[in-house]
Amino acid sequence: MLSPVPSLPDQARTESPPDLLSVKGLVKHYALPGRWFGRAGVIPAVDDVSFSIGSRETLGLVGESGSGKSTIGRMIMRLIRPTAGNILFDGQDWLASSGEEFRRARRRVQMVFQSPYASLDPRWRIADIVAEPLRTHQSLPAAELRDRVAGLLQAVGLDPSVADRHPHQFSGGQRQRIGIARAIALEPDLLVADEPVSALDVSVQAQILALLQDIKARGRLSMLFISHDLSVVAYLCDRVGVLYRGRLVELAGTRSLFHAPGHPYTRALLAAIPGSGQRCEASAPSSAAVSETGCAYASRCPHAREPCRTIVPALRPSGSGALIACHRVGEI
Amino acid sequence: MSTPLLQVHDLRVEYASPRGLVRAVAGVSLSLDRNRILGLVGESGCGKSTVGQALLGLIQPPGRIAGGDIRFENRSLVGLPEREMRRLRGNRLSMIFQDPTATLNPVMTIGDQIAELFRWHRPRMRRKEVQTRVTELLERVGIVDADRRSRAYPHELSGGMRQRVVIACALALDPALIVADEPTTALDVTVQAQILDLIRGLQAEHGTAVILVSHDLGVIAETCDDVAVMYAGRIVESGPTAEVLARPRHPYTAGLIASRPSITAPDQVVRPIPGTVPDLANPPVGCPFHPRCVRAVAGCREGIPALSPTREEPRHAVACPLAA
Repeated sequence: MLSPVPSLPDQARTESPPDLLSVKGLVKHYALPGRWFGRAGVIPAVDDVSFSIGSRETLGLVGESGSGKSTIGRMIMRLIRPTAGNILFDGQDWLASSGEEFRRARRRVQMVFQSPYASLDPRWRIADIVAEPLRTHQSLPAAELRDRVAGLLQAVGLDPSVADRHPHQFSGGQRQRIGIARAIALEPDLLVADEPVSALDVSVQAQILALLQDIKARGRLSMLFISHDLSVVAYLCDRVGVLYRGRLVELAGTRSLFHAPGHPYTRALLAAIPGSGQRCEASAPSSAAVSETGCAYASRCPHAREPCRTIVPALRPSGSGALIACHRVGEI
Repeated sequence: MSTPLLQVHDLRVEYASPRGLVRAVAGVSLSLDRNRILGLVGESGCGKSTVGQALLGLIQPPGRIAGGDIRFENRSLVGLPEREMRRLRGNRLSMIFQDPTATLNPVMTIGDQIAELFRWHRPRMRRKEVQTRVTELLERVGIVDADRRSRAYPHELSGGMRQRVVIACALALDPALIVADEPTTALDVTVQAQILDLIRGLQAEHGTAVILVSHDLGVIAETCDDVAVMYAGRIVESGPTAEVLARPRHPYTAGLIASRPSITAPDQVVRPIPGTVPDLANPPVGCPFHPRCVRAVAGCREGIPALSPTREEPRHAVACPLAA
């Protein structure tokens, strides 16, 4: 049942059908509290990020804390409003839709959250938690609703008899299964999963990864998979975007990213994975030394030269088919 | 130096809970020499943190040490009066916790927090000397501009910097043993690499023994000389790290390794361990792993297997009759 999905060569993506989700120039600024008599500053949490997700494709977004990966997920879910940029979902302006139109489209995009403890209402029965999206978006007779819930629980590897219990009676892994059952209840086209396995133990993490892999293989689901854990992303994603301080620094097919990382930051991230057998060449991140201009990574980068400190590098195609935002790509 | 620095024999820690007695640590024995790093690895609830807390005398009611012995520098720590324990803690043995934000006092400068250790344990040391030592320590853990930074409050530092300060505190009085409980779990992966480097460096330079408690086999592989894998309050496998990870004998250790996707072989399918960790208030009869074990036979329900050396490598021990 869990046979590995055959992975397409990276180039095959170029002639794939129109994108399900397309994000262009996404920006989110947060205002810093102003000092006395001083001017309030601005933190660019997400800065000019563009990417797209094809039908049945899983795109991974990786980065360290503060890189803006969760903010992007939340903007796609319309939980927070972007400062600038647009999002097209299935060709429609996703941010402009409202009312009934938005309600109808909304069911096609669902989310799995990080904490299986905070994301389920402790006072609700499992049946009600899983049925809520169905009740909101479809009016089904009670018997059919019950069958649908039972089917969903089975699909995520839980016994339908658990429907009458409450969340506290379940382990973290089981709760995450419930969260996934709820997210796939409306058969969405896009699942936004924000660190769905980070709060789980290693052996349970593998169960949830296998479940997501299985759901992916069975349906026509696309996924935005947000994680700080590169090995999990390598396992589940077709393409991967690497974020650093709110900017995409590399976007490439999973295979090429892990075998031939192009951006110095991607290389540092891979080398930092314990057990990778490599030494991390990046210097310590420092909050002070980030320049207003130039590449945000320049202060840590062992390859930084003059243009790196003055001109922001754009995300450009490199020889290998990957998109890389580095002035020195090809030289290093 | 024939006797090891630390010898733990059949340690048992219990917690009274409304659901009954929870045997968090159910008979753990281990020994550690100077200059070695031992990894304790396992999933949540396996008792790895409880072992660390017991070593520092930090088990509080409703928990208690129900049996066994901890010998450190040739004296027994179990039943040691709190006054004596306090003299050892932070001094001969110290601890690095997971969350540096919760460890540090938010209303004291980091310099004062380190200085406090000297005032408490070395009351005769002069102010000037304390100040010099504080600066030295901050430099040793890789904080640049240490003199100025010592006047910073914890909130003015990044998570990685705060963890460096916590490590400086743990090192201040030159302890013989440091217990580091998930010291990098709250940190980003590039920062984690630096902190692990730092921990390895301490051991190499000062001969400090370290017990590293972690859920992450990668962290253990990169840092520890020896490893003990815990499950349901017991050590199920132990030995030299490279040997145990390359040739795991216990089905649980093998399962943990197979559960992790590998970046070097992403096409390899992860094989989860079915089921979840047992409830320690109501543990399974026999081998605690048997309900999840693919190799379990009827005999696994009778009696708890003892940790015994394997034939090929006596330092590699496993608590599974099917694997030894």
